[in-house]
Amino acid sequence: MSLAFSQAGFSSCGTYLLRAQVIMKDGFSSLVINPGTRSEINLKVEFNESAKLSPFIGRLIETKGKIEEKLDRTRGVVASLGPISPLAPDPLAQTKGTKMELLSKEDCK
Amino acid sequence: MKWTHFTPAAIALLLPLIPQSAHAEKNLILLGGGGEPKNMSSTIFDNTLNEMDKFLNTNQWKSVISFNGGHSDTDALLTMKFDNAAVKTSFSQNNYNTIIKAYEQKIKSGEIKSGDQLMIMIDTHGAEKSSRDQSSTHEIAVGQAPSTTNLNSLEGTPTVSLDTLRTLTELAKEKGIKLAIMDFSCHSGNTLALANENTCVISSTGPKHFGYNTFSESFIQKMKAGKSLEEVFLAVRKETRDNSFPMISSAEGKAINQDFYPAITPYLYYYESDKRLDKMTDYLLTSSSNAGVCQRKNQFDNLMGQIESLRALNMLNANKSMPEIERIKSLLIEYKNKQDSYINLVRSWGALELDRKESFTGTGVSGKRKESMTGNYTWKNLIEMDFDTIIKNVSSAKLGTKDPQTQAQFQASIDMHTKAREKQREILTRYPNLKGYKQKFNDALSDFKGTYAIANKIALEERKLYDNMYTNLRQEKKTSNPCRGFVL
Repeated sequence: MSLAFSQAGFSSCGTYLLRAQVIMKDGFSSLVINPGTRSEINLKVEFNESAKLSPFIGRLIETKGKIEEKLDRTRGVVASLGPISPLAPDPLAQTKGTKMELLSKEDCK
Repeated sequence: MKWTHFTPAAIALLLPLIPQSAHAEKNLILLGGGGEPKNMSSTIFDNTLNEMDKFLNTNQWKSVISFNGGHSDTDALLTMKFDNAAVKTSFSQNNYNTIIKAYEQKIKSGEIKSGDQLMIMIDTHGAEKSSRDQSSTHEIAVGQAPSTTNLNSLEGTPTVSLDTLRTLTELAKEKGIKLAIMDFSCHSGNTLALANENTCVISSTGPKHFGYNTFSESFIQKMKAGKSLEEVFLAVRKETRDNSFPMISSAEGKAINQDFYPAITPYLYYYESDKRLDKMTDYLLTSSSNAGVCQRKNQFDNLMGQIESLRALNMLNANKSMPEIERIKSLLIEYKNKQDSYINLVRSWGALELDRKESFTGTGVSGKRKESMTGNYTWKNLIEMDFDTIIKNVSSAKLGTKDPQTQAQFQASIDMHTKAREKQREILTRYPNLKGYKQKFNDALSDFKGTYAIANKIALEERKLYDNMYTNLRQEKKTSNPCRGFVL
């Protein structure tokens, strides 16, 4: 596990504030935090929620995402998404303006 | 010790050592110089330092200076000046918080007592308050910024919220301290939310406009012993020649801010091709909705009504004709027509329809598995989406999977996105200019360059109107206010 990942404590389930790049990979929409770094986190979005992300593919967004199953190292699944706002990218920042912050912790399924 | 070496802990230790006496004391906290790019050796706020140093050399004020974020020439300026300052330190989040907490403590402990004056002067970059921002004031820049900063949002720049001054304003009210908050940053009109019976707030501009350095420099130059802050403000405002809208928290000032400022706001805007500085494009795009057009018309009618009332009042009270009223009316009508032509252009492109909502459901069956996918999109979403790439990606993934459920999901996704693509094509056949309308609008705005000049002419006429309105209101209200009561 990368240092940044373990320090941030992203192994918890619950609701997260997500600032992430939206990508489409292998037919599914995903959210990427810390893209292009050793701490890159990929969050696949549940099929029923993924249509919400279609307008934002390739863009930086902010949303709240519920994670119900423990993350597997730097991979996980977002079960549901809140309202989505597009953000201006910050190309100079190491994290490209992405961020993952636990807002409320819940027990994992 | 070099001044920049003060740590927050050292500031906290030094601040209580400022000697106090029995008569009313005058205290100054000068904050600023933040948000300037890292690669510069000085800040655009350095003249404020020069002017304030001159003021402090001839006036007995106890001062604390927290300024700059690592620019060598500004550092040198601070080292050479402000010989009598109790503390000189850089402007960082930590130093800001430490200084404000220390002054709260000085008021609580009685070191700063009833009748004493405390002026907090802020000269740094300031952010516009966004609709998502819950604060009552706004964010100001501390420390250094990246090489390019959006001067509307200050995104990427370290900031502090001026809401953190709230406790100080409450303490000032409770203990009878005369507090003045002078915010000379951009969008500083937001800070008037901190005003109370004992707190005078003066800003170099309104909540939706940029501020300019000339205001702070002129203000300090005109600060003379015996003058009230209200007098200085009115004198400086009358002479300010930029496209700002300086504000004061007196009853007269608040009345003008409430009625006149929203109405004149769009006519002080101007187009800038540099997106970091442009306010006009977003304003025109927002105003192109039905609600926007309606609000714009009401505000313009209201503005004209206020100007006519002012003319009538002057004729009635002083039999004075005001040629500036005809001048500003004519300029406003000219600028409104120019702005309207762009709003009408965007509307003719179908921008009105951008908020319309559409819903699409796709289904997919594979073996015994049946899946569906629903997408809810606005027209704005639809015209910006790249359906071909999405459908190609999902189709390719579908070929590579053998799991019936996943196959059914992929088919549902392809079906839903295909239906949405058909709608996208239908919209763009009807309104071809909607594709890339923001860029097209920017291109169309190229002949909008030079609108600074007309907005500036309006601003100069506005100065005369404001002064006249303020004088009329003062005669009506005749109330005391903390800006009049704060005598230098």
